Amino acid sequence: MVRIKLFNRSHVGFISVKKNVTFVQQAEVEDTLKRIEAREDVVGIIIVNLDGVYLRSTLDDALTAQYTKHLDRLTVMARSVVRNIDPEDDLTSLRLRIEKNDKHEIMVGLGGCLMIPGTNISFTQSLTSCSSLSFVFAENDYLVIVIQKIR
Amino acid sequence: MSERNKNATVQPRKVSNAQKLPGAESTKAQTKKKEEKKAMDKGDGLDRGKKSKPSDQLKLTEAELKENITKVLNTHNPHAPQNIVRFNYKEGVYQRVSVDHTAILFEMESNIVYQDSEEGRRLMLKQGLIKENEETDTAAESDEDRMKTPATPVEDGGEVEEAEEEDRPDSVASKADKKGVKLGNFFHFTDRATQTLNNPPRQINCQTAPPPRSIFSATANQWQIYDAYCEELQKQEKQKATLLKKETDKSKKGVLVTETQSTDLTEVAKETKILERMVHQNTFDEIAQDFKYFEDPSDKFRGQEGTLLPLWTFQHEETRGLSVTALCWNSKYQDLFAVGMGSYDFCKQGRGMIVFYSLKNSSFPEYVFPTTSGVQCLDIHPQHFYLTVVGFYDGCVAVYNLKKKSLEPVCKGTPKTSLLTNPVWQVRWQNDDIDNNHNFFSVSADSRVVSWTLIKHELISTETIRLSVNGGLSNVPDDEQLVNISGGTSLDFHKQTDHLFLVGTEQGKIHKCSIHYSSKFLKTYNAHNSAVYTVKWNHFHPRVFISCSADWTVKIWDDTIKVPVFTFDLMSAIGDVAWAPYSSTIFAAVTIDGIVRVFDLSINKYEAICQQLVVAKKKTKLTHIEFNPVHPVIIVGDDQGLVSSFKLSPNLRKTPKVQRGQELTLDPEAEVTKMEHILSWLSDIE
Repeated sequence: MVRIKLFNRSHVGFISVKKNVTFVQQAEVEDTLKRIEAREDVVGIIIVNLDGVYLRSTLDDALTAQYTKHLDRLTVMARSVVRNIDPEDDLTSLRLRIEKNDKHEIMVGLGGCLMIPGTNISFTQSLTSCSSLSFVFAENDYLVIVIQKIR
Repeated sequence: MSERNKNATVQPRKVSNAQKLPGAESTKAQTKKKEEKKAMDKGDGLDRGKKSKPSDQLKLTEAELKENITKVLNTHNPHAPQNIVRFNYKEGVYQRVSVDHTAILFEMESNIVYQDSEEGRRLMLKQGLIKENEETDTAAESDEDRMKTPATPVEDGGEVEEAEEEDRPDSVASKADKKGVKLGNFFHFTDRATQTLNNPPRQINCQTAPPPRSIFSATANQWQIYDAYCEELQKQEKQKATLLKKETDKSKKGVLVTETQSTDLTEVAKETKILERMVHQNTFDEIAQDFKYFEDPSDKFRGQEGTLLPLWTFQHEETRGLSVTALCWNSKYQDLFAVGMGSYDFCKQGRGMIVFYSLKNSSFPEYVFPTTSGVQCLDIHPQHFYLTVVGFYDGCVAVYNLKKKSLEPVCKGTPKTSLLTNPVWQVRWQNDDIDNNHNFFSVSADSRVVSWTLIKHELISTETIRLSVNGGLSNVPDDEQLVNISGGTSLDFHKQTDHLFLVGTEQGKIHKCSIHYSSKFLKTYNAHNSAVYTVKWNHFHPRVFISCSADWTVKIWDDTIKVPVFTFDLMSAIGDVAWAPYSSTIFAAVTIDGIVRVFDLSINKYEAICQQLVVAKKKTKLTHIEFNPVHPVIIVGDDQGLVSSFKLSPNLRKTPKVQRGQELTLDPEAEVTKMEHILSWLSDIE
C-alpha cells in the first residue's frame, strides 16, 4: 500500500513583491545535505533537474535513473492537480510512504526558483532588482528526492 | 430467301463443325444467327458468301434466344471513366470522383440578339432578309440539335437521324415567299448528318506535394491558462520597464544571466531544509506524535500529581563544555527558542554561544552565533521577533538580527565604567519608544539598571537607576558608596504596567522600581538571605511575583505585603523558576540535583505536584527552565550544554474552567480570581 501526501503553498502574489529573502550560501546547503545523508535511516539523496540531469546522487546510476524517471512524471501530475485546483498555488513537496513490508518513505521536494515574477533565480539579486527583468519558470526546477527507511 | 437457302447449304464448315453443339436445335439457332449476321455484313462487303461465326461467340439456348432483352437507352456516357479516385488530403482517404456524363457533341457560341433591337435590325439588314431568317432558324435548329444529341447514345459511327422537319416547311416557305431562291426538293428531302469521331479524352493531372505535417498535442489546464496570462502581464510590464530605464536594465541583465548559471545548489536550499525537517520528523516520529497528541492517561489514577514526558533533546557539538545560561522562546514562531551558552564558573570564563533551535529539527540548530565572551542572558523582542538582545559576562550587550545573515551582532554596547568586568545578569526588551526606536533594559553586577536605546545601529545607554543598600542615590563619598552598592542579578518588567519593574540583588533584596522614578525605589522587600537569582511577575495577577535565590528557597509575594505569601524550601540549590503562561497558579523550579518541580497553588499549597528527575547523568545541574507560550512543553537547560524538552501531563495543566463541552480557553480574569482566592484564604488564616 502506498500513501501519498501533497503539500502546497499559497502563492504570494504575482506583481513584483519585495521579499526579504536571506542570502543562502552554497556551503550551508551542502552541510544540510551532508547531514541528511549522514543519518542512518536515510538510504539516499538525489538532486535532479526536470530534464533528467543529476546534480547529485548517492545511489547508483541505475537506481537513480529509475527513481528519477518515475518520480518526475508523478511530480508533474501532482503539480498539475494542485495547480488545477488553484492556479496561484504550487506544489512544494510530495511524500510517498510504502507501508507493507519494506517500510520506506520517499520524499520529493520541488526546488528551483520561486514562482515570483520580478525576481531571478539568484536570491541575492532579488534585493537589488526593482524592475521586473525576467520571469523564470518551471524549466529550471529541481527535484530533491530523499529516500528514508522507517521503522 | 435465296440467300437463306444458300446459307443452309454452305452450312457445314470447319469452324462451325468444331463448335457444333449436339442437337438440332442448336444448329437452327446458329443458322438464324448467321442469317442475321449476314444481313448485317451485307453493308460492309466483307466475308461475302461466307457465314462466319467467330469462335468466341456466345452460345445461348433457344429459350435464352427468345428472351426479350430490353435495350435501354440511358444517359450514361460510356466514355466516361467510372473508377477515378483522388486522395483527399483533408480527410485522408481515397474518394471517388464523379465524372459528368454529359458529352457535348456540338457546341457553338453565338450571341442572341434581340430581334427588335437596333443591333438586331442592323444585322438583319446587313445579311439580307433571307439570312435574317436563316439565322433565327439555325439558332432554333442548333438548339434542337443540342437538345437531341444527349438523348441519343453516342457510339462510333452512330448516325443522327433526320433533324426535325417541322420548321423546315415554314422556313422554306418563308424563303420562297421572300426572295424566290431555289427551293429544295419537298418530297425526297433528307437531311443527313454525320458525326465526327470524337477523340477519346485524356486527362493529365498533377498533384502538388502535400504540405508538411506534424502532430501537435497539448493540454489546456486551468493553470496553463493562468500561466499564459501571467506571461502576458510580464511582457507588458517588461515593456513598460524598458521604456523607463533602458541602459541600466541592460547592464543588470548581463550580470544576472551569468549568476543564474553558476548558482546550482542555492536553488534547492529551501527545499533541502524542509526535507531535512521531514526526515527528522520521520526519525523521531514517535516523539512528534507524543508532542502533538499524547495525553498521559494514567494521570487520572495518580490523583493530583503529574509527570513530564521527555521529548526531544537538543545538543550541538560546538557547545561542549558550555552550560546553558539563558533560555527564551520566540513569541511569533513558537517552535523556535534561543539558548545562551556560557559559564557560571567564575574561574573558567571563555567563549560563549547563542544557539537557536526549532522543535522541528532537534539534531541541528537553526542559527548559531559564536561569541567571544560567555553569554549570561538573552531576550527575544516580543514584537520584532528577529531581534535578540544578549548580555555578556564581560559587561557588553549586543543585539542580534536574525534576518541578517551575518554572525556579528547589529550593534554592541559596552559599559561606560569598565573597571571591573561586570557581567550583565539580565536583559529585557521594552516597548519601542516614541521615536520607534527599540530599547531594552539591563541589570548588571555593577549595580546599575541601564536603559539602552537602539538608534541607527548604535546603542545609547542611559542609566535608569543605581542600586544601593539604603535606597536611592546618596551624596556619599565614593568609598562608602561602593560598600552600599549591591549588584543586581535579575530584572523583570510588569506584564501590564510597563514602567514598573522588579530588581533582585546580590544581597537578597528585591526592589520594586519604576522607570519614571530614577532616584528612588517604590518598594523594597527583604526577600532572601543571599543572592536573588530570578524574579518574575505573574502573567495574570497584577500583584503577584515569584523569586528564587541561592538560599534554596522559592518565595511568592504579593507586592502590597512585605512578607512573602508562600515560601518553598527546596532542599537544594535552585537554578531557575518560571510561571506557567496558561495558569496563574502554576510554576516550575529547577534545581542542581537535576529535578524539575512543578507546583500548582490551587491544588496543593505546600508541595510540588510533580517532582521529576530529568537528567541522565547524576552530576548535571539544571540551570534554566522556560515554558512554551503555546504548547504544553517546557525546556530545561543544564550545565552540560544540553537542552531537554518535556511535555506536561494533563494534571499539570489544569485551568479553572473545566466545563463539559466547553473549550478550555485562557481566561485571565478567572486566573486572577483564582489567585485572589488563595490570597484571601491566606489572609483569612492570618
